[in-house]
Amino acid sequence: MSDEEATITYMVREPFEQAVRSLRKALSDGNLELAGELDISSRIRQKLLVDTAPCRVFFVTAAPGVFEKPGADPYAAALTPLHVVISARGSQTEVHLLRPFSAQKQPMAPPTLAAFRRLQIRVVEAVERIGMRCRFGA
Amino acid sequence: MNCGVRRWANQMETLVSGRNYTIAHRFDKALRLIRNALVESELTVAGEFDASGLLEHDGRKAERSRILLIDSPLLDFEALALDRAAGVFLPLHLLVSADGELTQAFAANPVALFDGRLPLGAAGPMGRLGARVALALESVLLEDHTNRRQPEDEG
Repeated sequence: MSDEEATITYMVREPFEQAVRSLRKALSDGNLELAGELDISSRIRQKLLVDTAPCRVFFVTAAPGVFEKPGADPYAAALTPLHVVISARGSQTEVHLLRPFSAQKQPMAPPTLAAFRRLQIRVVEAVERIGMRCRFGA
Repeated sequence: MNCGVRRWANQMETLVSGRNYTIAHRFDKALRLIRNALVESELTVAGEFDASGLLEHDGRKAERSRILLIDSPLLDFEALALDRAAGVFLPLHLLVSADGELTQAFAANPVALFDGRLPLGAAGPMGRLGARVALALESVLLEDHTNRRQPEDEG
């Protein structure tokens, strides 16, 4: 396993709910679609009666017509929609994403991997419009 | 690469990156069995997406397929306790797709797919979630196998 972190984190200098709105707009402006979202902190509160800081997962796909469909590779469907995590950190908000696959790691067929990378890059570009990268791998 | 080596390599890739299960029922029944098995394993389907037409089996488009997002609030809590970045890997995706009279279920193992260091504290709960999903799917296969054997045994 590489020493690099598997995820990348951005800091948005806005409180949680405002950052959620900003992220929705940034994704939409980047021709990305929200296929769904999961309020993890609410689920934990409902099921375990434990209060945690707000945390949601956005499930992001490319808007129709922007990319070709992932194709015949089951990994593509197993990895998309792409997860984007938004979590409160005090008066600011963190956004966590999957780090793009390295050139050596090729878990999918090349056309699928290329489409998946394009989706990742588009999501990174959208997040970089509202946040600053704040954590780097070792 | 000769045929045997290729088959071995494919099997290793499957073991490392995910598991594929063939269920001897049509899509709707298999999906129902999978949902029941997940409930019995105290797992929840936090969401689902229609992925029909995205996948092929032996060159044929799978007419129906769904991605189930599977989690457990307790394991979510554990995974996210130290680093919220763990949410990038949660919930787990289970791809269920029609394959003629059969149904294929593919549970990706995200821990193996990504070569980077996982968020602090995430590996344990994610591993347990993957193992529970695998057990739930294996219980579907086992129940099916038992049901098929029973008439012969009784006879």
